[in-house]
Amino acid sequence: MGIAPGKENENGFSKEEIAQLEGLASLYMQAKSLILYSEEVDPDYRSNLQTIKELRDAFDHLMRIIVERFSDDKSSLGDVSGTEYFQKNIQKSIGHVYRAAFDALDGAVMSLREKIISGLDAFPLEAVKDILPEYWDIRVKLEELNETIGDHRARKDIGGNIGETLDRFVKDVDILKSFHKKLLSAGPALEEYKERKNQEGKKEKRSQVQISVTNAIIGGIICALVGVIATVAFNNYFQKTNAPDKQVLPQISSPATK
Amino acid sequence: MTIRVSETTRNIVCKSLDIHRLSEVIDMSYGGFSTTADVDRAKTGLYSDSNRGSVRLNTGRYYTAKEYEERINRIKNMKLPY
Repeated sequence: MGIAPGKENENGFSKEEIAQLEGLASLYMQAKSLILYSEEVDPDYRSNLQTIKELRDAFDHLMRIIVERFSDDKSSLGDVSGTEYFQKNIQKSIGHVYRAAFDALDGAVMSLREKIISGLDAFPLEAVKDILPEYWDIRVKLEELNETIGDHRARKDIGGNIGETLDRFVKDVDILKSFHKKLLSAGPALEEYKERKNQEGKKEKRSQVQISVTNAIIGGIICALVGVIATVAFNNYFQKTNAPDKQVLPQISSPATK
Repeated sequence: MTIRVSETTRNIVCKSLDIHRLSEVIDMSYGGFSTTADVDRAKTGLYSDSNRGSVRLNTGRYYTAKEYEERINRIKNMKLPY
């Protein structure tokens, strides 16, 4: 169905209005892809009702435009109609689609943050340092994004540079997405590192036990030797001090000699 | 295809919405939802078998406003390994 722009069709849209409708359609397609991605990346595959609500409101404002153009009864539209009514509602519709996209991106950031943290928690930090050195840059990005979650909700109206903000946000989410993919594929290498470290730890523990046992044996031998030497020395000393030639015995003369 | 509701329906709806004509709904806004006016998960579950809408919603795979708020707080406070 083609809608002819111009004045020959009183219900039609002007060229400028058609361009704005095309812009809304294009934005919606991008937002839809982000919403689908956000639902797919969610740990429980959950939808966000806030996003659905934004799309409902965007649809409502679009329908207001259509009703205004095609309705026979325009008396219920209030004091604004025509181009002015179109502009007011198309801007609101665009605003709701943008907010739906931001909600979806917030959801994706949270899901990726949760998945990255639980993925990293299973491995020692040294393994991450060795195998995924870019984690430290990603960490900074994650902390930056963490601060902005839910920020756009606080803004009622969309700003002039909202497109750039959205582009930057998409780019950042893509960085996290790539890192999460890398983390998943680095799983075997991280496991191997963990296993190697465990083996090294066991080996070190074993050698420590061996050293302790050896030390104990040597210590025991030394103690035994010291004991033997001490006993011998003591006995020698005791024997010498108690020897008969050294004893002063009383001289008893025999009666025969007398 | 034109869909028209009956005069009785029009009257009932107009009366409950406190409007004179059905066309007046055009500039009315839908109700929002928030942590104080949230979706009732138990109530939506009651109608899940008879609903013909989204499977995801009918199986309860969504965040209510309160759950979403809690999720934001929980994930924002998760510590990254350092």
